[in-house]
Amino acid sequence: MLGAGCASCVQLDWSRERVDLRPTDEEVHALVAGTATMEDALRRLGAPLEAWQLPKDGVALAWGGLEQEELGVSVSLPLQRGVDARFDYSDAQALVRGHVLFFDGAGTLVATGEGLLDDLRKESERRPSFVE
Amino acid sequence: MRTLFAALCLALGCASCFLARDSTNEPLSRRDLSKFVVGESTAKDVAASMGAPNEVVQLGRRSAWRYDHSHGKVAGLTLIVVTFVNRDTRTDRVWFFFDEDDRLSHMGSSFEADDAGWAMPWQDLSER
Repeated sequence: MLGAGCASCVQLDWSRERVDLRPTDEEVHALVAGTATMEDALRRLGAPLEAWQLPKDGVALAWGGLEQEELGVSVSLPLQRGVDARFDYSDAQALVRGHVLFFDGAGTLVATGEGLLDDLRKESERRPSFVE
Repeated sequence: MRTLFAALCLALGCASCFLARDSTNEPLSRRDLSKFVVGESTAKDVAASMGAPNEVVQLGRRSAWRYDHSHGKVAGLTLIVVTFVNRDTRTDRVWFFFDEDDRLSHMGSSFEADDAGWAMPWQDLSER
């Protein structure tokens, strides 16, 4: 009775979502700017998540994975008939982290970046010198 | 003793678990890729064999096509007021890069969809 009663007003949730795995730092750092090529990167790291164009025929390839963990507490208190007071607390983190490799028009690696892929993409598009 | 038994029955009665799986797109095959040769195969060859890509990216005068297939596994457990849910999704993905003449210049592939696993949130599935 107590458990069933509590279940109606308090709920604890722990959920975790993982989508793909990002390559390890060692795998990425084995590719040296100035010598590694796009072919080397694709052979070592496999298929990227994203590809986009850079100035001067350059190409950016991104590898990464999403890891999201959420701890939640939901509390629902009946105040009067037909009215519920609901309080939700969630500490959620959405992370799409990984590595971006920047190649010049000849397909040679010129720079690498690590972090949130969206940030790295926006930065490379907003400020082309970012990859030089 | 009777109280303990009642609590046990309640816990067992209120506990529930579930498993679910889902997938997107048709599975990709390594064997299908072996027919493509960098420098020789064309975008037309790829389209004829693989069908329409999931994404086309224009890279200046060049282009890149992405094909993927993902497989997800969801496991959940509810104990009265506590719920644990874990979702693990892995993807088979292939990129074809074409030059300005639509000839295959690079190809990259990953086959991980079969590695999706059942787990609880506290378990590590980070083996690559």
